[in-house]
Amino acid sequence: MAAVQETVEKVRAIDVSEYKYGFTTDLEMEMAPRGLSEDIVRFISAKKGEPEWLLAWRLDAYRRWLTMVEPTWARVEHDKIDYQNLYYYAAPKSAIGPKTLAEVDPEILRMYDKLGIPLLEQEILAGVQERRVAVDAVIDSVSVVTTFKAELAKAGVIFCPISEAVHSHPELVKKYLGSVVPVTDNYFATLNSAVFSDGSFVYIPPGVRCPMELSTYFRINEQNTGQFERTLIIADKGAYVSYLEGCTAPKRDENQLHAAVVELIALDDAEIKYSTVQNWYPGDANGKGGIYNFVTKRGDCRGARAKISWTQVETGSAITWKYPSCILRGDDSRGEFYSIAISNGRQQVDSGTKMIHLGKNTTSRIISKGISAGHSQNTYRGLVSAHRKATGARNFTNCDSLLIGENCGAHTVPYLEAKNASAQFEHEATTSKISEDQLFYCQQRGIGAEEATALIVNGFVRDVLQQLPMEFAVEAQKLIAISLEGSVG
Amino acid sequence: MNLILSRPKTEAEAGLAAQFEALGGLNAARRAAFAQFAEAGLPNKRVEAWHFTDLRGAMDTALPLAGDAAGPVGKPESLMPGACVIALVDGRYSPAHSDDLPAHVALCTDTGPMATKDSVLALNHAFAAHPLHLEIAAGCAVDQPIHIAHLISQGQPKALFARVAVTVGAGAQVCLVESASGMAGPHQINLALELTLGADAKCSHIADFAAANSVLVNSLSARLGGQADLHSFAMLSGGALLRRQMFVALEGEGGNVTLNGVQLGRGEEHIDTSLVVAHMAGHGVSRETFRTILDGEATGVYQGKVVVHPHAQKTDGKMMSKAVLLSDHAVMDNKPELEIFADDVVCGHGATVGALDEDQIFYCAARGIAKPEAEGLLLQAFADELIEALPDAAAIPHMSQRVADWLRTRKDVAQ
Repeated sequence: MAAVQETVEKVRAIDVSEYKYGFTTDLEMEMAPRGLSEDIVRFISAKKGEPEWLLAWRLDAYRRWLTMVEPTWARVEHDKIDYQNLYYYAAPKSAIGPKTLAEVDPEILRMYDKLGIPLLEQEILAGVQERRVAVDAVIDSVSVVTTFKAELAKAGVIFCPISEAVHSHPELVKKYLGSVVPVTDNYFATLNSAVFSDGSFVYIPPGVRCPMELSTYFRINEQNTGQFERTLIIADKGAYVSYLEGCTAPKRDENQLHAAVVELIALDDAEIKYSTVQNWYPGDANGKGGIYNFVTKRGDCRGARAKISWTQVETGSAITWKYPSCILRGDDSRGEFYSIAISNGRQQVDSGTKMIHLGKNTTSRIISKGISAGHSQNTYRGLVSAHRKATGARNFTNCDSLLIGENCGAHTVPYLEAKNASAQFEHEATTSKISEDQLFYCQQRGIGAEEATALIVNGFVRDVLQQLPMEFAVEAQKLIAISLEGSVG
Repeated sequence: MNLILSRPKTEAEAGLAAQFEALGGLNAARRAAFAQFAEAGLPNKRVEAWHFTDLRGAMDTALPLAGDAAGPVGKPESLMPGACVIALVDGRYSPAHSDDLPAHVALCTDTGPMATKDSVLALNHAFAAHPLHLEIAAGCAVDQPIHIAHLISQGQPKALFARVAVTVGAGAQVCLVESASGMAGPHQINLALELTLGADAKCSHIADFAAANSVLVNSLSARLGGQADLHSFAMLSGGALLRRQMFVALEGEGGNVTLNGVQLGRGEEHIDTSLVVAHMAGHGVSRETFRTILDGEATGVYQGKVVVHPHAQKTDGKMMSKAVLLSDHAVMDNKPELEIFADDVVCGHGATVGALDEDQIFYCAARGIAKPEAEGLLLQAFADELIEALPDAAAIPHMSQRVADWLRTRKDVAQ
């Protein structure tokens, strides 16, 4: 069955030509020389006044990166990236040095205002904004401001740019940096390890429920730059944090590289909720320009009963290559992945997740919806594996794809690897096979099977989306109403 | 890490090259096929289509080619009563071991070249010296099942390459049975069956491969014309490495293909079913359903890929793989893949892995059925669900018995 009209219209409304955040802001920038070499790595490290161990770590990564080749297994096509033609460091001049809100360049504030991200605390406190969200604003290679730091500090929460954390909390950074995504992990993660510029660092102490949502707003502004941010979030025993990430970039004709690494660590009984609304510039309707979004995101449920949940709404980027994963190491830990990926124009999405069950009685759930329109290609690629010792592992996977138009493609590549008999994996894409009990319940009350299925799944997805904060609600709302009708496995 | 390493040939690859060299004076098609193989080498985990099955690792050496100086040959097992046996001994058609051909079936030893992307199939084309070609006349229904029996002469472990092509003319109907016996070797066996179904042709294909301790790769390539119908079922058991790979192309509108199979693995056996179904024209229907039972340290693999080409609208595809693990050391790898380029299609896939349901065993226990019997009952039913769907009822008792025998020997092992 083809897609219903309502869905077609909703997807059209977020077509590439409608990209709202494509404006540029003129900021005086300080740039590193073009290209990549050991000197550039040293330059970035020196700019941030990093300690010796971190420089050594970067250089080690850089040397490894030189020996690696770009992976080609993903279903994406692009011209060869010229890594020597990029700027690996670009910072607004006004952002250099210590900063409080009062010192932030008004031009930058105006830019964030235009993006709908208020950075002024008093405004937020005055009730202009309904919910309070602490924001770390990152432009190109540096963090320009982090709000609500003082209030968070009262609760013991550390929320600051990672370049600052290296100095203020070296023991934490040293202990956890690269412990989830090792330097050698993959081509782009290794590149990131060598040249990462800024990103957020979050530490929630034991037993603390973070008093507000934390968020980082990434903006690529300068031409020809690559953004390589690094995010590290640690939830100590019994802690809880909800973290949100948003990203946009100006419309430019050339492709820009964004190779981020996100590491999450959840200790015993801790819970991390990581939400992303990815809205990088997707290129124009003919596929010119746009961001190459090659991101490594991974969470490690290191303690027993830990929980990590990824929620992503992917609408931007010329190419998305990203697989937020969970390593379920602690017994009874839980991983979740909820994704809506919409591709339009000439966009290419190759996204999915990995759930690696190592501990006993670990559970995971994957709900993925891919919608492709125009000339785009949308791939779900996921791995669920149960280790020999992961007795009682449970997984439920549901991925649906929807195609709108004759020139797009939707692909599903799930890997299920079970290495012990008590693991129970279910992978389904057929809409009639969602919980028979729930279906039966609806049918008993006179609701048809198809309608009931849509009700159940949409209800579930809505649940997730409604937990996204206000600034992401606009995009999210557009997606909520998308019907399941006509979807294929 | 993604390092590029130039790789020297393995001993088996070098051995195959030497053997091919020694054959000498071969036609261009076979030389091209070998060149294709030589470039790719033996497949291993780095080759995505062989992600879970490491043939390179399983083949230490290239065994000597099965030749004409054959030892005594056993009799093929009867899979279907009244079938016409066409025997291939050591890869070569043997009239002495075969029955007379039924009406409307012609036999020749000429097969056209067939393009393939798979290096193991290319290897088959390079080495299969005596390809056999069966032709079913258009519009005719063959009333006797045709049983293609691969036999291996007794003696030293050897390498066997056999290639059979069957052309089913437009509107014709045939039931093909395929089996391999005398597999205890350990041999290296590479079998290929090519099916070409004309418009409105109907073919039912029933295969039984018990690979014992051998390495066996069986390839089924099929091309279906408009409204053609193919139903293929395979029983797979045993095997140091047993892989059944299928490449099916629905070239005409409204083609209908069903690929089913049961895999039974124990010990350190490795059993793999991989398939690619390409919907190249609209209104096609494909159904792939597989059941796997694994005991001991066995590994089961199911890799299915359904490709819907642009303009293959109104395609209806469903793929399902279910596996039961009886031991904590068994491994099941599933990869049900969809690649869709048309917007008005219905495609679904599902995969489950798990142990036997404790509730069901309890249900039986509450009715006085001991655990081993209860397990046997449930497993038999698990496999029979597919076996009973066979369009040729005459093959059901044999296949059902195969499962029963496997389950019975399992009990012996347990005691």
